[in-house]
Amino acid sequence: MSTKNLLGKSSLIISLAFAAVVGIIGFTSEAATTAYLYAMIELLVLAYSLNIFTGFSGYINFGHVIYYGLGAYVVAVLAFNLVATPLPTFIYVIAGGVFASLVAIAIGFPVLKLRGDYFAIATLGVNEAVKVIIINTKQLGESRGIAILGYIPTYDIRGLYAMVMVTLFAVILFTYFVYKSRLGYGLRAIKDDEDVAEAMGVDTRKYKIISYSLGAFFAGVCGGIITLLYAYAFPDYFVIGRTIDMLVALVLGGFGTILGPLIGSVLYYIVKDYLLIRFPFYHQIIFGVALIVLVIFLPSGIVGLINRLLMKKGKRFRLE
Amino acid sequence: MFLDLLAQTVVTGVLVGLILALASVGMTIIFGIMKIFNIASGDLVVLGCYVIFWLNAIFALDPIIGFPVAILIGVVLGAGLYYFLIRHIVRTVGLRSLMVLFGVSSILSNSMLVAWEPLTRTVPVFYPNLVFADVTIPGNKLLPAIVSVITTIVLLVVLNYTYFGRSIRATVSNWRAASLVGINVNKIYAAGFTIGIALTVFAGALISLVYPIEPYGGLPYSLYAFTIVILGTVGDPIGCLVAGLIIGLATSFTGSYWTQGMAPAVSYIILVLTFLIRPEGLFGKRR
Amino acid sequence: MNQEPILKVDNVVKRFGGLYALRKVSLELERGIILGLIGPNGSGKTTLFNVITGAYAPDGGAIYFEGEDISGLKPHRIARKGIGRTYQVARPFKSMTVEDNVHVGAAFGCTEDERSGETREVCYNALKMTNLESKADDLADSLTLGEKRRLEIARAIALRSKLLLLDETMAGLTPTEMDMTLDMIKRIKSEVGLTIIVVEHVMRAIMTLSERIVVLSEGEKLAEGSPKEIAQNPLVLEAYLGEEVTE
Repeated sequence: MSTKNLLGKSSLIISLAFAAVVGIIGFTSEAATTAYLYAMIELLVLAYSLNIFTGFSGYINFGHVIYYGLGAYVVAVLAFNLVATPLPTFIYVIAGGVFASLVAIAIGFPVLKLRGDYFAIATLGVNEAVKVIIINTKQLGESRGIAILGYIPTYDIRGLYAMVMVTLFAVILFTYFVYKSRLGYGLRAIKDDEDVAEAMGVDTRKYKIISYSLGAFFAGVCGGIITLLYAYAFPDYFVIGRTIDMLVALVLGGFGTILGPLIGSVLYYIVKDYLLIRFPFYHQIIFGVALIVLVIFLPSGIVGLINRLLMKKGKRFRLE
Repeated sequence: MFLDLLAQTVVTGVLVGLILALASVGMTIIFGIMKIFNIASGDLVVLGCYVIFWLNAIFALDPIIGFPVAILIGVVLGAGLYYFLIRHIVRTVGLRSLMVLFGVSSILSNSMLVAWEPLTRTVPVFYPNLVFADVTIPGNKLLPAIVSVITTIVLLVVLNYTYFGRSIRATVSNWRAASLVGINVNKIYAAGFTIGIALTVFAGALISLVYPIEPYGGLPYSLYAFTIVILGTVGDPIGCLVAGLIIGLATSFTGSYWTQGMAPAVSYIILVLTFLIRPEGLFGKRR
Repeated sequence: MNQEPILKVDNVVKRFGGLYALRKVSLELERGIILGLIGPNGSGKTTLFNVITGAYAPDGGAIYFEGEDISGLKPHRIARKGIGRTYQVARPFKSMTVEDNVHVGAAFGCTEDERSGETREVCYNALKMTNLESKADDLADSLTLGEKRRLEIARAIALRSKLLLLDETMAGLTPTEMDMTLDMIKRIKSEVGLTIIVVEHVMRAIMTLSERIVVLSEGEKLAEGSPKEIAQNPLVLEAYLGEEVTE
């Protein structure tokens, strides 16, 4: 029993250490490297945020990216409207995250009554509905979006990099604490057998909504930060390509683990960047193929693969 | 005049609804048989659109001649997809097949993007319009709608009056019982899937006369299809027609009396509401 | 000592479409006894379990647990009030270890104590009582059938249930495993002070274990009495005519 405790902690330490190293590199390098690492860290945060809900509970969420977009728009709207009495921008970002999580609760309340593939399709519908509504709303800039250049202090990428690093630390810690808590046990029980989980006292509805909105919070914060970077919020933030990024990264790494999103996102990001340069446009096709191959042959991801190998060798511990 | 707008809206809604219904009939058969949601259906629709477009652009072929070509391509594609991919995931956990088809959707849409560029295309063929009083019935919507209805009727005849069709309905109802009475369920899966894909591509061929074509435009069609399939009850082609009419009218009225842009959102919200309030559809048995 | 029955099933009706699975079934259960629930296949035993645990809401009648009306409450609330169950086909949480499985029960159990120390103790006790301590770190899916059954019981014990519903725990076990499980159940009952309802097709098990037996047939209560009375009841024998009675 004590071995296992150590292993959960060691996954946490590895993840935090990695984050710290990348943080230092990014902060002290030239702008191009920082930008490269920024996008990778952002993907990491998004993967971790999706993992809190989808990874732990097993409910595929095709619509996670709307919370990223909502966070972005909240920051833009706040910056625009509070230009006379500006607040420190990180408050806008937090507000973005909070707003996203509140919307998640509102959406999750009805939609989480659904199971399995019905739920997945419904999230797809909600995602597109939100996108369409925003594109058709004048106050939100319709398809052009909202530009806030001049409404916020200009940021050095280093400053935003620091912000996103803090978010990464936060989401990793959160993932660990969820994993160890009642919430984590409940979600894993839901993933394995939702009816039995109910019979064992797990309030499945409440836990699904909580994890769904927690994931939304972090996605929203991410979206808020990117708006500060580009000084611009536009509907392309809701594009489905992002969903593919997150899902492939998560499937690759391993659902519902602490190291999974880390390994999956880093690998995915490096490969994607390489493919983007060598075979622009074809890379999405390759990832479509990769998703299919992974889902069929490696559904528990790299972490799952490592665990299976460990078990074969008779080792009595597992990677989390 | 108010009545004119109303009549025009209704006409458009009915016609568009009937056309969209055909895109859903394919999906309702596939989901009915193997309980897999074909997320790639929208992209297949777009593919069908492109078939007609290129036949017209390169060979100056009239779309009507292109229709059988589209069906043929759909059959080949459907059989290929089934044989190489789908039959391996038929009985697996539902969510896995969803992800696989999500991957297929991505492959399709991005392949079309690479092959045919992100430009918006339209088929420059215009069929004659009918005009009654002040209401125009556009030929480009009327022709596909009629073809859609005819196709659905043919399908219904097959489903109800042939052994093959009845086997499909039996499999939709209860695949275990169907296999017990001697139906080769695997053959039904293969045939049903192929027909479903072929119908979807064919629907795309029809839609090419109505809407502009672009490589990433598949997702809305998929969502429309989901809505119509669930609302009309799974496995029921007539239900598809009825639900299609409802969605068609809903989007048409949204377009006329609110803004065109919001029409898809209305449909998506109907999807979510249907899931929540009446997941068994208009004609289903309450579970 | 509380004289009130721990469980009162009051004229419960359950319909599925036009089919009646339970027609006005009533029974009362005193604290601390083991009740056997038998009947031919389709007589409504598992349905009754499902109604008691909240998986289904009754269409008529009511269920009282410790005097409180629990009809139609959500399953997790009923579980937290103290009713636990096992399943005909063992359903442990496959991706989790044995200990994690039991932890779920312990964490959401009857008392809302969040202190991990207490939870860990409850887990340990549950595993000890079901002889599964050595398997604590193994994946639940790697257990044998007998062990999976014991895991389900351990999980339900960790829930700190006051009433335990055992659904065909003996099915598929060898005679030796069966004897071990019977002893284990009796031991647990006296150590923890549980009330138990057992559904079984294995006559030997039910006759040895139960202090009282209720017979269901086609959704109705056919008979009730001591094991000896039931074994000699002509109605019961008739209901089972044509059924394999494992001795």
